[in-house]
Amino acid sequence: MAQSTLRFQAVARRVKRRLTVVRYARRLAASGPWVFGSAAAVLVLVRLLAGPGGGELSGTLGVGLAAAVIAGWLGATAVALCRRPISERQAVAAWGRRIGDHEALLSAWAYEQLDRLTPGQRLHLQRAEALLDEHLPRLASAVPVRVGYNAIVPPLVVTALAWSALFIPPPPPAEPPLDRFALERVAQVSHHLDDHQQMLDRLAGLDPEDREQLEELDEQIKRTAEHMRSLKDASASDVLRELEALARAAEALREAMGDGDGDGEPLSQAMIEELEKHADTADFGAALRSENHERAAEESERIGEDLDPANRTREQARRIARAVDRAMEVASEQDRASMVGRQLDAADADFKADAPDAAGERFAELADQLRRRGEREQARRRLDELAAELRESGQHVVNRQAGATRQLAQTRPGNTRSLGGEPMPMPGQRQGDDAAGGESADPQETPRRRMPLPTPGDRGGDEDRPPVPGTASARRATGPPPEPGAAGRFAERSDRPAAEGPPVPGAGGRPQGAGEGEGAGEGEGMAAGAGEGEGAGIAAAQAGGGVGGHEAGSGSAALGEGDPAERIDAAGASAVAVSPSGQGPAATREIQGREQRGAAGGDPRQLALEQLRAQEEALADEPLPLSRRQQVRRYFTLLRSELESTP
Amino acid sequence: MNPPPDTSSVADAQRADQSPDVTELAGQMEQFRDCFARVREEVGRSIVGHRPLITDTLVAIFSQGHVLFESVPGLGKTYLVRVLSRVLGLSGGRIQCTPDLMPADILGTHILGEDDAGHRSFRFEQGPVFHNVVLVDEVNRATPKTQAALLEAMQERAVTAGGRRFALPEPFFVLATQNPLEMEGTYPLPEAQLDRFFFKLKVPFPSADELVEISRQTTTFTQREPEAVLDGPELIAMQRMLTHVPLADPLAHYAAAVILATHPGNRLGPDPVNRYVLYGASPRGLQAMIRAARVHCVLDGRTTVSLDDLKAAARPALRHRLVLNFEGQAERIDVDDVVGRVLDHVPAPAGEA
Repeated sequence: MAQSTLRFQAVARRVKRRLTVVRYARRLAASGPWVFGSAAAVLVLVRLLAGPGGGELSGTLGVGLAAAVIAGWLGATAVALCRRPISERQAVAAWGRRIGDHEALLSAWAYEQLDRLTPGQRLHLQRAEALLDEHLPRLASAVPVRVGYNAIVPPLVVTALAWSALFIPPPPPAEPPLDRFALERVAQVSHHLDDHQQMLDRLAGLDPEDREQLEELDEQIKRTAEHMRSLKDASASDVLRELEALARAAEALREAMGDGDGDGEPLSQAMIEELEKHADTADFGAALRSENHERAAEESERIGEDLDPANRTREQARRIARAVDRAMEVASEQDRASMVGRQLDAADADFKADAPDAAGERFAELADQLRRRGEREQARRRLDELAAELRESGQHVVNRQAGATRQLAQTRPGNTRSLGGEPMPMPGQRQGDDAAGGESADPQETPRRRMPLPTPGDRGGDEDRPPVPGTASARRATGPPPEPGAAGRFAERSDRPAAEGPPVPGAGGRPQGAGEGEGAGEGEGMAAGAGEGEGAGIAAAQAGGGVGGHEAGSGSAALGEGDPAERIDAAGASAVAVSPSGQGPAATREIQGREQRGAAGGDPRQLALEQLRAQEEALADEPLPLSRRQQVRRYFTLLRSELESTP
Repeated sequence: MNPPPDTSSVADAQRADQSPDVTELAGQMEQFRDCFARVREEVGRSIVGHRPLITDTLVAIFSQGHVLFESVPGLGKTYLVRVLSRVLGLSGGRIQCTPDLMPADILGTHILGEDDAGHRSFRFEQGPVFHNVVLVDEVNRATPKTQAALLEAMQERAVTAGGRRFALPEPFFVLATQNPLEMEGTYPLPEAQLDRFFFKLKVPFPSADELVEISRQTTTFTQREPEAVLDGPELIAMQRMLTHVPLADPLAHYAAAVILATHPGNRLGPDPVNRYVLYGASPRGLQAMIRAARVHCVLDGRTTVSLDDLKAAARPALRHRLVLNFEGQAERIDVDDVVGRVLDHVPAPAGEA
């Protein structure tokens, strides 16, 4: 009996499922025309309400509403079906009615659930088994899932309506080809691609694999340059696409390069501080702190030379050994595992083994490694800048009059040197604002690099190119006059070489004398340029020497050697520093007005209020959205109120 | 008066009632169909037309039920009963009811008798009810007292007289008739007593062709005598076999719902019931439906009762059990129509699936 029970109940469940589907389809077919009619009405109504020109919006909204109507209908029908489900008894009875079994299957289904059967019930179950075997294969035909006319036509009508021309917005007009001027700019960009190609060839510190990829990028740039020269009917999108592909290739190469030796983690603070405490390793430690690998390499090399038997004194070797020993004492496991840590650890062991010569060789080897790391980092940075410049060039081709916001967005983290950082002259880099193009006429514009697009009267800006006499001075003449006594407010830090640092309009001058627009590497020191006779604009710039060796008490800097100290502006210094945020395009200005003088003897609260005011003035110059500006103003207002309430 | 039937044959039939196995039951069903067909055929040779009437009468007889025929006089009711008793091999008796008919006239009475030795004593003289098939003609002309005595015998299948209980022979059927036209001077059967009848069958008037055939068969000097096809024990065995025909719960619930739907005020009932019916069918109506449906089921060659079987049995089983109210009587509502509306209204087991 168990077999029969299983069989009839299983069949009942199967029939029940099928009947549920049939019932659902039947209900949908019954109510479908009304629902789809409503959906179509919604479509038309939304389109009419949207009026002419609202095709896209009304299409989206109408289709969404219509879809919501249909989805709600499907769900409501399903819920209604679930609230009154078909029982197994009903399912078997309905199936039996369709096949005309005179309730034989229904009775069998009922009998098989009994514990004890009478002879008549057993007899019927036997007969019903045969009936089941006969009709079960034809269940689909006995209980068909019919999709009627009503279930097919309304959805087709609504779908056709939704996709009809009434709701599909017309295709956008074909993008016009570049005009003559844009084509000229494209040609200029293509020429500068050649410059980029040369720049890439000069990248050092690459592995063979990286070099291989670099060659591919090189080839791609070459092809793109040739292609752009031959453009005639191309659109702006074509140009952007080409340049974007190059930018992505550069970024891919940069990502592929990684950090080279893989252990580029900086040393711990304790270890660096320990190195900085000792005169012989202080500069080395400072260079490591600032992650200036080139400088760190030089310092390491110097230490190695100091340990050379020809130059070495016993006392000096003892000091270096002591410094290294103390540094390794505070070194963490991570420090010891790093490249510098390993070498210092080995040198420490050499010192302890009374082998300063070997220790000196360790430092020389470390210098090579650091130099190589610096080169790789520089290469990555240049690739990064290349990608940014390619994108900016594309934008320039499309829209030459780029807004300030867009220009801000192009500011890259590598555009500003960190303290003690090495200047990074870029091919094609401008030395100043483009007076002829007028792109940077806005004094609020953040100094940045961009691909030079020489126009008539424009200066190339490339350090390899001869400057056009007179253009630089003309630019300064067009800039807004500096405030009396506040000259140099927008000067860049002087640790940048004059050849790459963009001048700030009204900044009063550059260290090496604006007007010539030339000369790299002269700019460390005081910027004392004079701008067209408007006051004595002196840009106080930070010295490029970094922080190494300047700690009180270390006494590491030899007299007359080392980095120059920061100069003090007697008339009151103003400095503008563009620093990378690392969080995307951003600009930060550091304002130090003359009010800061004498702070040591003034009221701290008053000083803080004055600083707030200075910062608010700087905020006024920032190209910020209104909402953001108001938010920052509230921040200042809150600070001021707190300061004023502080006793 | 025919002699009482042999009780030994009844005992044999009872022994044969032991639960048959499946094969045996299938054979009995087959045998029943064959016998039923032969009985119907034999009756049909003597009774012109009235084939549904014959079938329904046989269904009632095989279901151990009594039948109330309703028709105008002269349509062959008495002849039908006589033929049935002959064909079924049963003894037949007839009671012509009149207002002065007394219970003792039908049940029997104690009379003072004297034996050969001259001893006098009371002995029970059995009345005409002591036959297998009893025709009660124009039962509504008997007084309620006599009707009650008859109907008690129908229900109890026994007669109590003089403090002694006399069992009626088995099988025992009462086939009563009543004339719906001549109502003057009659005593309509009360509802409680109507309920004792298994079926109420309406004897239709013959068609023209049937009348012609009747004229041919009944105007000759000699008439054909029907032959006995069955005997009492065989009939009882078949009656018991029919009790093994199963009825599934869903269909039993349907039958119960039909009975409930004949009662006014029940949510299952259609509007005509609420409007025209004073009182609905009793549980005896449910029993009659199911038992008759079993006969229909086996006759149709099936092994379980179906919905159609129940519906086929519903009208004859329920038509005399529904009591119309004044409005229904005034508007001459046909009870069969009301029963038909009930059958249409009660949801089938399949429901809306």
